Amino acid sequence: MTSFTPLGSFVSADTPAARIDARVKLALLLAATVSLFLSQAAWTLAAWAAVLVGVVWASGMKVRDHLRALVPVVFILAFTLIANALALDGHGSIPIAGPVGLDPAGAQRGFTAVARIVILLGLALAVSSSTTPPQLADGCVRLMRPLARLGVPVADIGLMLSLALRFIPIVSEEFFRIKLAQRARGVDFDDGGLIARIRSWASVLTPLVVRLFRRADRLGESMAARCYAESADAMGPRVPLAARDRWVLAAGLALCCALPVLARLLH
Amino acid sequence: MIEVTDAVVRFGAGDDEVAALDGASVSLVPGEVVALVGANGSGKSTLARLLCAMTLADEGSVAVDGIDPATGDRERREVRRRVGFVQQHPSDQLVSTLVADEVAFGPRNLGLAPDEVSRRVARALDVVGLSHTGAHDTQALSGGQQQLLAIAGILAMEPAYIVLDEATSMLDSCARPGMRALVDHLAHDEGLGVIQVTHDPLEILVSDRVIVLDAGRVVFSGSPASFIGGHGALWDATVVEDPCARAVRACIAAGLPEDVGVAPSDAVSWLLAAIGQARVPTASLESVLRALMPRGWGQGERLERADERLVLSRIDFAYDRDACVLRDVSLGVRGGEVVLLAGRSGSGKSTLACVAAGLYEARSGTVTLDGAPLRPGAVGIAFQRPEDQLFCESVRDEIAFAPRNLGASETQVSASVRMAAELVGLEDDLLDRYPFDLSGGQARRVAIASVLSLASGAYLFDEPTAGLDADGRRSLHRVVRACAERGCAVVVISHDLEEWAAEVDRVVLMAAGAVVWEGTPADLSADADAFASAGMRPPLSFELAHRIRAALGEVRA
Repeated sequence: MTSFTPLGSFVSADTPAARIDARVKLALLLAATVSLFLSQAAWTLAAWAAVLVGVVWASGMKVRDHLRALVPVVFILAFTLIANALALDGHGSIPIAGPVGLDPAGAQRGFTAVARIVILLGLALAVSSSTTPPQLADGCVRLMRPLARLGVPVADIGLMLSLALRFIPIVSEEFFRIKLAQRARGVDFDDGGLIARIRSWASVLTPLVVRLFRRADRLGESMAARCYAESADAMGPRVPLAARDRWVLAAGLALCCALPVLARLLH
Repeated sequence: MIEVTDAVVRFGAGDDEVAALDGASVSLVPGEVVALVGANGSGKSTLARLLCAMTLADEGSVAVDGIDPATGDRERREVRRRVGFVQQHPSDQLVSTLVADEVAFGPRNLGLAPDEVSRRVARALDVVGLSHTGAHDTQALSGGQQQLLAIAGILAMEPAYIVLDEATSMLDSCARPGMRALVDHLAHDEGLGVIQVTHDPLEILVSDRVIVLDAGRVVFSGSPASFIGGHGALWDATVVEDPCARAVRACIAAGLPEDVGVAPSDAVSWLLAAIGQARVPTASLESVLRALMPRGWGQGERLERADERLVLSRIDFAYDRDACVLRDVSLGVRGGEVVLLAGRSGSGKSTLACVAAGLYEARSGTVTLDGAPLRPGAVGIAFQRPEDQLFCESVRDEIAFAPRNLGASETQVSASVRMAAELVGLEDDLLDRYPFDLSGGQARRVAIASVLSLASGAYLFDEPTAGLDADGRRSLHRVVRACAERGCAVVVISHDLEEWAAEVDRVVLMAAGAVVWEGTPADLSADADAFASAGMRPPLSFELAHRIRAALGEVRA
């Protein structure tokens, strides 16, 4: 059976990217996003494309998988490009028919926007393909740790993320189990009118919800039995970054700063 | 010491109020294994939850090493730390995706320093034998390992007592010996007080002390020897029929001294030594062997004349392209026959059941019922914990759901409902109840009835008695036999050979997606290699029977 992981497509392999601390990857992804939107020049986009190629190589992900991940957004990207390139009010310098024409400046704007999204998506995929969901959740929470001083319940958010990650496979497993059982009782999920179908799915969703509530109850008890209620700081110990991670972080941040600054200076 | 004095715990309000505990008094000390036994609804789970301050007493008092959890939040928290609580369902008590994080959850809640947390995590994982799994995903562990992990999560809080609430009832039988050994180690080497709520005769026999509850009161407290030896009627009413327990009784009849205890292997060892010194007659050896033998249903000849109704021939099955789950499986089940399908978890027995029920399509091979190919709904299948599938407003609708789906007329539907309700022994007044209000045993029977109402010629039951008490089990055994007596082909899938050997006509062992052995329960007992071929450890009663047979051979020679 092919399993679906909502938090990206983790590839279990010991790649250079997989060895980098999740916090570093998340921080760099954030910095790259800001930097990419600050850089205007076309050559910076080319530079980012080169970075993407390097990152994809380091994450060990196949180019084909990257392209497949673009499929759902192809429509939006094409729409963005066309909406920017087409001029409907006659200001387009390359006329097509009547007031409809092509606007080269708009086309360039559209291309820049599309290129940014493709690059960002590629970088994000590289992060998720080289990091397990628990590492990602843990990285997020550790990055948020300073917010705890402002009264943000970071430990609780971390626990929530962890529980969500635990429950995703459980929900899908229970769903398929109950669906199979109802099929054995003669429910046909593919047949009948709308009302019949709604009734069929109710026979799965009702017991699923009941079952999940029961599970949640037991889980709550198991947490209470381990003295959760008045938890002080249920997070793991602070783990300093390794030397290599620090170098990667520093180099990445430097690149993210350098590109927009250079673009400004050369303008 | 834990002291519970005249505890009363009530549920519900007004006219619906019931006392789950009605004046129970018990005391427990560290270093002792206590089995808490009783029928479902006798109050044993409530008492277990009272011990670890998951519930507080409405009347009476609880004191754990002098601390009363009812005094305040701090005291309650301290009692929860001192008395660990492990529940029935392994995966429902894990909060973390990583094994080491899971164990660290408790100690971190206690606010311990990181060094101390990691020391405790390492130690707890070591005690339960999961040291190598620290970096694993909790989801990737087997049910037995997940339960060990849950125990490690409690041990890391360094409790003085641990309450195991039917902690083995959902486990594969091959995970149980390890669990029994761990309980023994925790109490007798680590000095913890272990309280296990259990229905398992073996766990009861190897405990230091047994407390039996009935209707919220303690009706027996004493050694397992005096429970099985001196209170036979109470034992029979509370504990499920078991060959090892029968053998222990036969040993007691042969003069088993009290100081040996009633752990079945100790009792048999004593017997063999006594025979060696000619202290007991050879006849007692034979009577113990008879007690250990599965009784079987013994309708061999009549069955051979019956036609095969459910026929699987040369089934190959795979979930995806590469991994084959079933390989060339052929199986024919006659009308009136009950077949036990057994094997380790992952041997393909549940997958085979889904193929046999027409829910999965085989890659090659055919499945037929009375010669006709299958569609879903033609063969009734009750999955594990079938009560999880209930969703209707009334028990009657629930049972009528399947025949309605198959397009039966309302007259046929009510006839099917009547037939199914009768088969599982549901009283008429239960038919209008709300399914979610039923007790565990009742809900199980309703769920089974909702499958039986398909009025099919063949039924498959996957672990139909898991988690039920002695009464619930007995009534399910009757249901299975009643189906066969109506001429249906019946398959029971279970890892518990000791429970089912006496209830079935034929045993089929599976390993790695193939049938590796089949024969009658008596053949199985005589064939020492059968289990090895399925990669299984023989159940204790089979092992003991083997030892006695060897000794008998020597005596006769």
